[in-house]
Amino acid sequence: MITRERIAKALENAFKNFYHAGEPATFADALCHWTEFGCCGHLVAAAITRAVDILSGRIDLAWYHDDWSFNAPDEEPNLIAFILVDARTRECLTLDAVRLTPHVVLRIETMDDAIAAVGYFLSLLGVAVEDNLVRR
Amino acid sequence: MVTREQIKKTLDAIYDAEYGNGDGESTLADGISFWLQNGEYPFDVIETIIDVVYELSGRPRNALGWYVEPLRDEFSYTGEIAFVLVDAESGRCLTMHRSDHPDGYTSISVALPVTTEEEAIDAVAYFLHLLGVPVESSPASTNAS
Repeated sequence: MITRERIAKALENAFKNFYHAGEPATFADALCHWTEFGCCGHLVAAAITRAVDILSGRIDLAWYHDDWSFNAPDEEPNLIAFILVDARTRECLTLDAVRLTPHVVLRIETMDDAIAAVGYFLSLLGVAVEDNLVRR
Repeated sequence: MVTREQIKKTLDAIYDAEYGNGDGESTLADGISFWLQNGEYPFDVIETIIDVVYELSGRPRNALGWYVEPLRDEFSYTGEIAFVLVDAESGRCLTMHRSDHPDGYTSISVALPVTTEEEAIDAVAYFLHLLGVPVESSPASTNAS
């Protein structure tokens, strides 16, 4: 069972893979930059996907993410689109067969949102997560 | 076999009908030029390319799932558009491929240049190829081989 504390740690550890001098030093800092200035969304998204890779133990996941800093309406800030594909089978796990969209759009404004996002993707992969972690 | 001329005619016909006056005067090239000069989201260019893929592949509207992102640098659109295409019936990602990156990671998107109508024709031809529709090869690829 994956706990929220474990996800929070995984997010910070995952973020270290993307750190470059002059950019936010921690995931929490990157999250602040994203919510306050609309920048660093790609770092936030990359840390979320990397944390999912780590916690699921899967090395065969393929991702696309797009922070909507340029194309979201003003009243809909802090949105990130994610697409998750199982690279072994090519199956798109985020496909919405009703709306015919391969992506999910998640609002990431707080650490709780980021943790819930990781929990959501883990649940798509069949990984057990702590109760009440995934918002539906 | 779908020819490049057929793709061009369909691109222009759909663009003119949907975004022009329907009098045959507007072409996709106009939309691409406007996008690159004005820097507004190229909804018309993207939708026209996708509509033509549906039209020429014969696939129904509920058969494909698309995600599209016009790529940007720090200041403006680069002229490249990233596409993710999923077969909604099988749930399989059709644009997945091993990237050219030295790490060889798996990419699920393709970034295609769409700065001219010829490149838009190439983009449509590429998606038709992914859908198993035979398409006339481009002059550039013929020369390259």
